[in-house]
Amino acid sequence: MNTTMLRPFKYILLLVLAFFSTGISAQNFSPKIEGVGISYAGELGLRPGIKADLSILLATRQRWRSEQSLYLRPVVGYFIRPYYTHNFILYPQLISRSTFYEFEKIQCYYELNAQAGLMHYQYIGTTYEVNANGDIEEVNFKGDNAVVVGLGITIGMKSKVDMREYFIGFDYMKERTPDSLRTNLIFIKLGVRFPLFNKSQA
Amino acid sequence: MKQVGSLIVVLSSIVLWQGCVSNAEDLFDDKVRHQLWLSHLGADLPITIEGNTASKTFCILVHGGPGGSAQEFNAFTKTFSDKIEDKYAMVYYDQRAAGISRGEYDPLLNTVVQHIEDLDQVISLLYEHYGDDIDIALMGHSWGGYLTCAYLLDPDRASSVDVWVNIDGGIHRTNFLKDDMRRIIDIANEEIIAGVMLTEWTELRNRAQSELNRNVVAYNAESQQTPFVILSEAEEVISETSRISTVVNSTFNAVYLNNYQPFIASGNDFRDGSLVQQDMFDFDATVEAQISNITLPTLNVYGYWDVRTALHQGEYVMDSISTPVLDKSLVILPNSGHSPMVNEPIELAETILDWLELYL
Repeated sequence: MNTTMLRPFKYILLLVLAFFSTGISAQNFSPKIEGVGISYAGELGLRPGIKADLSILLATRQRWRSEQSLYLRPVVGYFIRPYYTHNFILYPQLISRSTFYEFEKIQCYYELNAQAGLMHYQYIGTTYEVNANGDIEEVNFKGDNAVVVGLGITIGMKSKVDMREYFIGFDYMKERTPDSLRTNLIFIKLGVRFPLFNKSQA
Repeated sequence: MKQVGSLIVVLSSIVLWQGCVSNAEDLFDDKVRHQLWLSHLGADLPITIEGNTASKTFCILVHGGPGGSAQEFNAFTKTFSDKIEDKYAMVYYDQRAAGISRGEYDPLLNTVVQHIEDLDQVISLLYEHYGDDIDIALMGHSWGGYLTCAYLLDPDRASSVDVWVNIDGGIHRTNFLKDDMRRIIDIANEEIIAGVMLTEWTELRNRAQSELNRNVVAYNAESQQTPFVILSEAEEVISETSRISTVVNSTFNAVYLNNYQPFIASGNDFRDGSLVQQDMFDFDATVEAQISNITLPTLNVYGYWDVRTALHQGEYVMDSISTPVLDKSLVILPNSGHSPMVNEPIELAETILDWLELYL
């Protein structure tokens, strides 16, 4: 992969990190694995995809009636552009979560997230290559890698009984490939997150 | 709520499973969709074969531009393409640095000669994949008409093709710009007599006449902008008068039901195509010298209202190629502009099918 592609992204990431870290400094910092999420994540909504993540709580604080938390979430995913490419995606997500409403047994929250990572795409179909002799030969697993950077928003609710979360969200990512194609990825996600350590707050 | 969680897990698992299974289809059937990729000198060219492969006749649709997309025709003009697919297999391939093609882009390879070489490899691939006993109809639209013509100038290459269908091809680059100006004047005169948009057509007629009066011997990538501005405005006026109608699939249909990739295509739109733009003018001398080499059965289809590649270019092909008179034809579609597959999709498909039936 062309390493010059990464140069602007590291500055973007630093800025995003700085933005989300505002106000969380001097808080209790004790990383804690909270849960595992799985979601349908369709590119352009209806092109099927799946994502799984591990939610790591980095910091939290209480501000008025709202609880604010900072999460790090490694995400692994797959989506298909039918008749075009299989796409495998891997990125860490930095998330700022704020609760905005609390019921007796349910807590509602929204999340703003930023992410940057890698995508590997693999062509769907029979792939051929013209070799050095000018002959056509069949090859396997033709594709390439891309850098993806993006932002997103998620709205969810967390059950205080079983600590399970349900969420719906939107992710936008810029995809930059070695062939200098700058394209867009838009995901609509609908998912559930299971607690690894079930500790009821109800 | 637990059921919702289970539902999401099940749904996601189905997605994963669907992605893993291969959709193997028969090579020859009356309704297939095959996806091939050809990597050639850095470019990864997507080739979609859709329709009746059992006919063993493959119609390669070479798109316009440079920089258009054949996959767009498959996604947005199903009225046209489905009709041909019922009888034959359509082959939609996107050229390097165009449509939804991928790969490492080298601007220095965006030339007429390289596009000819790519097309040659696509045809070789079809023979490789489907066997030597298939028939091939080469069908080019606009710049695709030009490219297919350039391909057929070499008799060795032409021998791998059975029929040529030229749809609104701008065959001779400098002459077609002059032909466009002549066509604008002709249409303007008719519309002025009919009392339609008198001011606009009078002005366009005068500007087209002025451009002709300049007696440009050979246009280039820069000087072509002047006639392009005039013809673009003429297209707008024609569109305003509703002389031609448009039949296209919805974007939803194209993106979700026919798997068009709008973001990839728009990414390729930003490619630098200046080399091929100039190359086309430089290639005019080759076209002039060798167009008489073409002896294939040839159908030319032009839109009456086409001011981007005027019907005079069809007449030029008819006069210049060496195909026997009975084996070449020029059809003018009365209610079409530059894209008959959008304006008169059924009429265009029927015209092509009738022609192919005679030779395949």
